Amino acid sequence: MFTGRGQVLVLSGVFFLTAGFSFINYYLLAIGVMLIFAAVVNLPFFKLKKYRENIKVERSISSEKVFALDYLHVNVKIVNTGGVIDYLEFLDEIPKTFKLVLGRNSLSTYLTAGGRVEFSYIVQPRLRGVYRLGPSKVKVHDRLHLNSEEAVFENYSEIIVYPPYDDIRRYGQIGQRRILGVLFGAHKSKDKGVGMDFFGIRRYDPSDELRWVDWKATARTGKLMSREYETERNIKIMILLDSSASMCSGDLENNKFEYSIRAAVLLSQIALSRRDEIGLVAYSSKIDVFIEPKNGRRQIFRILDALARLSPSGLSQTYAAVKYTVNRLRKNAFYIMLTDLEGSSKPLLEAVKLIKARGSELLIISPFTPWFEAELYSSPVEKALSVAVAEELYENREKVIFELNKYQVPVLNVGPEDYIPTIMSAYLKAKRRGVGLT
Amino acid sequence: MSRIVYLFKILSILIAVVLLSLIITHVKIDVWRVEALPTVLYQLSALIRYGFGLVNYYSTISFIRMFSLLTSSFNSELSQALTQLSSHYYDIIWGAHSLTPPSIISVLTNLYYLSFQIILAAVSVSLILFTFRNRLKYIFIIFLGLNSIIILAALQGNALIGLTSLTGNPLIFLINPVFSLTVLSYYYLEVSFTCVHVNELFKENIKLSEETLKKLANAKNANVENQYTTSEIKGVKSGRVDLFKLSAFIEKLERDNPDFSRLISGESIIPNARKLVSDFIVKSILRVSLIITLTFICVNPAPLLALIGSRALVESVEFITPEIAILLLLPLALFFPMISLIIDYRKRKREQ
Repeated sequence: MFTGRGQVLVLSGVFFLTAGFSFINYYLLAIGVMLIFAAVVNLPFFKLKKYRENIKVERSISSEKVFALDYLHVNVKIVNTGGVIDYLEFLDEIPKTFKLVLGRNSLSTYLTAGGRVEFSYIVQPRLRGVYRLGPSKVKVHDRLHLNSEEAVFENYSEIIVYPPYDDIRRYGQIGQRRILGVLFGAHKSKDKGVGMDFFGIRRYDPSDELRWVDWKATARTGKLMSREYETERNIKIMILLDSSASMCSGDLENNKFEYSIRAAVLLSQIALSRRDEIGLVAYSSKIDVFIEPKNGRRQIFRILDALARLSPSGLSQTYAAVKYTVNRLRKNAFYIMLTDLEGSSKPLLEAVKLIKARGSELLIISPFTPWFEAELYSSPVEKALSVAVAEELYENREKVIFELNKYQVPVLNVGPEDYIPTIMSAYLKAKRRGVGLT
Repeated sequence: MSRIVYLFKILSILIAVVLLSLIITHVKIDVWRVEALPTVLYQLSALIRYGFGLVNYYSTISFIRMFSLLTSSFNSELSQALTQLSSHYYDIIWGAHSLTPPSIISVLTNLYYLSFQIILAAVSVSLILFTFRNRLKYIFIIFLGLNSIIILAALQGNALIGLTSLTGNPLIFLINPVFSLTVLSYYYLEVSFTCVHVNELFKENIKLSEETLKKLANAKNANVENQYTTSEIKGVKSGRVDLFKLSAFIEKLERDNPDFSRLISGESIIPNARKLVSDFIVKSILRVSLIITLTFICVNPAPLLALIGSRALVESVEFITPEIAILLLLPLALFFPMISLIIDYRKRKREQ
């Protein structure tokens, strides 16, 4: 009802009034009475105005789907259909992970009868996910700020924030080139015998068709020689993403899970640009996401949409997830598992056996927790403790890796800096070796 | 645009200065004692010295007596000498320069006179600060400080205003100096609060708007520099894309909406100054008139009660006491919150 200012006025009024009584002073008495009336006289008039009904708030956004670290333009229109509003405070709430880049999402203004204000601001979503802009909070004061009334407009705008596109911009251009040179050294996956591209000449085999015989080479060597052709074959990749709660420990923006997602997006984009089939399984206690390996332009948006909505929780049930995936995929594929290896090793080994039994190959890329949390510790005590914990974790990890190596499953330990180059390198090696050919 | 802010500020300062000079003239000149500060300082130092002296005296005496007690078993002469020393210690220490503490009443009286000067200094400093900064605390310090001078003066019978009851017809009431000072005092609050209100609406909004436009210009300049650089060094083009993503986004928005810079700077938020001033004049006059009427009714309840017909009450001895104001103040002051509560209740009912 009363604002802080109104309360001070009432208390001052009572104080002066009692002083007037005590010292029999009519000036103090009059000022006390006046202050009390000044605080209360406006109340009914203020309450009579239907601010909640008279104020209309409209919000429009430039896009409902946006990549993290890109920009979003928000336009807000406030219309007053009632009488004069002496002072209106407005706040359009934005999610905590959104950064206000330009303009402002709050204002204070005076609105005439039937008046309207329109303003806009630009925000930058910092983290992928599904967010809501809003609610809009309105606080109306009288001219002297003695009375106030609040209203909340539940006008939400849902926004899907995809993982950042910056990695794709940065590495994508390199990945699309056939000869990557410095960074990766990519080559085509070859399937000799069929196709249009000439591969070489070899000795004739009785099983060869006569049309493959190279007569010039036969004449030159005096022996029957056959021409060999090649074609590029696409590979099938399945990303197994661990979305258990342990993956999101540490910094909100730069934890293992966010890096894994960025790596998965980049891998998907590059694989799809080279017409490979790529799929995604995100698992925790249950299968959170299952996207069958496919190629085509729509696949990247399926993956982006699924990754945007993913939130880590529960424990990782690796075996159940792998069993489900293997049963759904009839042909073999190249499995890339992104996990911090902090769950139980037994189900993981069972899952490895299952993949190997189907003749598929598995590569585990494992973000190592202490490398992702190194910057969070500032004091020497915290640093010393983190080193001790890191050693303990490393020992456990070495045991798991030793067991995995028995099944010829390579495990790559990664930190924030080498995560994306490592996954790119792994993909290009697989491509070169023709792992998981479709 | 910010001329309106200066208008209200000048008005507010002007009223405060008039109020200050009026209040100074409405207390006895006797309260403004120049010697209050040095006297209080001297008395306080004397009190401190006396306190230290007492502590010193009693601790030394106890030490000598304890030593005398200890030595009595093996050296009676020394013990006797120490006993004698303790009994004459007061004369030895304070014999030549006896110290008498100032009386508490005298200290309090001087503090009372000093408090006038302290309040006046606080009010003056707040007034100066208010000219530069629109802070609510300065308004309250000025208002409460000025009225506290009257309260302090009334405490010792040094006030020259408000000594007689405010009776008579409304016209006499309006020209009464007590009432003029009351209205002026209240009007100071009204104008000062409006000054802060106007400052928030204009100065703050203009400042924020200018800042946004500056940021916008910087972003655009960054893009121009980028184009220049990338045309020169093609190799670094991809690296700069991230850096100037915002400017590209702004460019796109400007192309799509010609009003973009007006929207982003929030130009439409800044209200119309003329409308605001006319609104202030009308509302202020209505509000102050209503408050004056209500105050008059409460402070001078005789005409209204006589009209109602309560002759016995009007002629009673209680009617000459100031407390009679409560008789109408309570119901009238509570009437407004009660009405607002009823409105609130009906609103909620309708919403349900």
